[in-house]
Amino acid sequence: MARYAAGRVLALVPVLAVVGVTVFLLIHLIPGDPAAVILGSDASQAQVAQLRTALGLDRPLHVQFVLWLEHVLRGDLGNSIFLRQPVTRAIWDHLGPTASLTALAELLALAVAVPSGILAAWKRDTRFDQGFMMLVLLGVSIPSFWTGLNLIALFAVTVRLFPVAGYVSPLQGAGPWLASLILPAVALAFTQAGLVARMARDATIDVLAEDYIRTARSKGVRETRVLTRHAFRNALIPTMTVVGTSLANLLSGAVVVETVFVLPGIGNLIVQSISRRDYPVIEGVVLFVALVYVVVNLGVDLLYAALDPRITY
Amino acid sequence: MFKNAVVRILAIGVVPVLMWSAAGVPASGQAQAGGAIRVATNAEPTTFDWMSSTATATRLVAWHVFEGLFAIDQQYEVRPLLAQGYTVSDDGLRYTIKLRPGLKFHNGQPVTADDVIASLARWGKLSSGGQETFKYVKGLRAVDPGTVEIALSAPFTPLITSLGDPKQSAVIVPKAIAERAGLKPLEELVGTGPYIFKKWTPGQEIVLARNPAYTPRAEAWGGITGRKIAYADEIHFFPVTDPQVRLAGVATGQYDLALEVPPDLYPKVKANRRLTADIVKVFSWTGVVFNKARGPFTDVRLRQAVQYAMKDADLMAAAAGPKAFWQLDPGLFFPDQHDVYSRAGADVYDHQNLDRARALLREAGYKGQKIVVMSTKDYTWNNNTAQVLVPEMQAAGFTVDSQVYDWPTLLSRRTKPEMFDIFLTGFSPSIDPTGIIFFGKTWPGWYKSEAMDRALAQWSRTPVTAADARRKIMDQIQTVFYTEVPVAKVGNQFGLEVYNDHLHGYTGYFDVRFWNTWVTH
Repeated sequence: MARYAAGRVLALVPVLAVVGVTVFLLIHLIPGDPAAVILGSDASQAQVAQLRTALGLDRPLHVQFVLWLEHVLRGDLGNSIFLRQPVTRAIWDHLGPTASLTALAELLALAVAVPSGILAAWKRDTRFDQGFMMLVLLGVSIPSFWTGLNLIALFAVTVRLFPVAGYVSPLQGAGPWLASLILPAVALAFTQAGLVARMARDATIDVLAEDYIRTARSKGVRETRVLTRHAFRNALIPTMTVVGTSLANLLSGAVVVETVFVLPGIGNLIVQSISRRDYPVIEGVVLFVALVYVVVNLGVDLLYAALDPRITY
Repeated sequence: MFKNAVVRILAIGVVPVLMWSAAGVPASGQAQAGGAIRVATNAEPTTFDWMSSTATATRLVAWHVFEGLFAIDQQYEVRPLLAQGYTVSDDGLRYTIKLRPGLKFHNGQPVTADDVIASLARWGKLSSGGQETFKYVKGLRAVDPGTVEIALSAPFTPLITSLGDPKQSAVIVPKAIAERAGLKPLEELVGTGPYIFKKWTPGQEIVLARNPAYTPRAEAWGGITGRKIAYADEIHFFPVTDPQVRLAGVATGQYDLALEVPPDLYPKVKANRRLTADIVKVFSWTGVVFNKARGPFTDVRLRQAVQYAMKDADLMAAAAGPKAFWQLDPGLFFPDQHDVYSRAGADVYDHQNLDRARALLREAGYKGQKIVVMSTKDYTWNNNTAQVLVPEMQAAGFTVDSQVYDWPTLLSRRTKPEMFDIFLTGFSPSIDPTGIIFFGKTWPGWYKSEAMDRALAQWSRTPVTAADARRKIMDQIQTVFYTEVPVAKVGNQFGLEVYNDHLHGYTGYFDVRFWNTWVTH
């Protein structure tokens, strides 16, 4: 297992190399000028050109690429043109809100999705199952920004239970921190729960059709024990794949929800950086996202082995 | 008897309660020090260097921290700020500016003539207004630590106005900081203003703290000069891009003021008694900018044709919605800017005439070449205007290719004459015709006009005290504008700011400022 994990980690290098080079070339080829964005629309061309020179943006593309590569190989992702700080620092500062939001949203989603998915499978083709499928459909269809705005209207404006927007650091108190994350987490969990619940239901249905389940039932095993002792763990394996994808998606930055709720997370960082053409940050965040996907996928693969002893690496 | 008892009980019980609660409420208009003002903005600044950036998001934070020798008052007229006053030699070639005594930077360093010279030198290289001004500046000299002399090579009467222009402002910073920054945006944010830059958490908030050592002027000039009292301990700016969330935040009290609320939310604001809507009338005007360097619009007749094709009321309704938020006006400046406002060109502006437009197309020999019109959805008003402009141009006989880009792409493409024929933009207020950005020969659009150069040169030579003469020249400038049509003006757009009953003393202006303002939370 250790060798397998080490091999997967090593495989990260070519992945990051391809992603990095591709992103570098793509973002430098699209139109847009960070100097013009800094100076505003009324700045003259001469001023923009002057600032481009001062910031080193007028160097030929291949020179910029070589410099960037040299830095990356030393573990230095460069400095943000706008934030005037190292890219690694910018990513680290924005990771906290995203990680908190992801953890809370995922917990909420799993707490609802897994039991309800299993229950829906058990009560297949009943009214409960039909109601469940309708909710799942709503969850995956309704855009998270719409859910978010409605949550704000109800719980922040009308009832005034939670703040409208903004992020409170956990250093300022667990209560305010949690309060600032509940509504965006629910907005995200609604969609994620739909995806996970659907997979949990389908996986459980498949497992419940297996011979060993029929054997257990014919031996007189109680239905709850059939579900929890025999079916649940096996149904979890394909479900974990969806959970892994969901986790990687959220850790890469829930762009829309972070924008609506003004959370200074990775999603917010990447959107602002793209609109400002902050090339070093865009490159750095994309590499970070690639790393997240690889690590999460590795984690899910290792979890398979933990759940199913037949799987060995 | 029972009724009397009830009345007595009420008098004993209720009246003291009312008096107790009234004691906690300041008398109307009575300022209170302390607290933090919380502002929801629509964008985060890309830099805090007000000298280099033209962006509104930069200015509305920066002018709490930085100050210049001169600044505009509530009537948009330039008055001293750091300067005590100035004198001009009889030949108009030497300006002697005395600093107010006792001025200090936020780092405790006194403000001296050397700091002024270094700051102005930097401004002269960085800012459009500075570059224009420095064409006339022969030299800067420190007469003594509190006095600066500016020597000109030729009379340039807009000098003081230029020094007070809020666009890429000539702010005064310590000499060492100006020299270290050079042509790059300032990173050391040390000014003289009523607020000190405290911290910036990107994506979250910008915090300014009261400057306890600030020495305000005594005059109640308003605007961004005169007496500025920092009542609040801190000002917090929160970038909140969604306008519904900004408004919801003000309604619940999480924020005290929200900027740039869309006009379609105005009924919601009016329906809430705790909210006040401030309609900002000196805000921006929308223009159709022609590529005069190459393509069909090198021919003035085609530019005039577009002007005749436009129905400005329809365009402004598309851009700004309800009539309360826009105004049709021919001025290059806003009516509130009495010194420079003119109505010359009113006989041409907003006079849609499709027959005349078609005749001009024929006269110019237009053969149906595709006209590329660029707009952006990053600003809803911009794309909305394009959607109405395009059919109006087509009705006149133009073949139009409407291209929509994100704002950075549009900014980039408009610097390349081969990429467009028209782009749409908004112009923030200028305070002098020599500062109008699209009169610059290198600004996208590439306007070159001997008639305009002559008119502006005449303006630059006319003393600021010669009001009648200046009015005539301003009329002449505007007449040339409407004849040559470097830009087709659409109309004036108003902004909407909303604040709640926590905020007191606030007065509207073309951008928000929070001195002389206090909060009760």
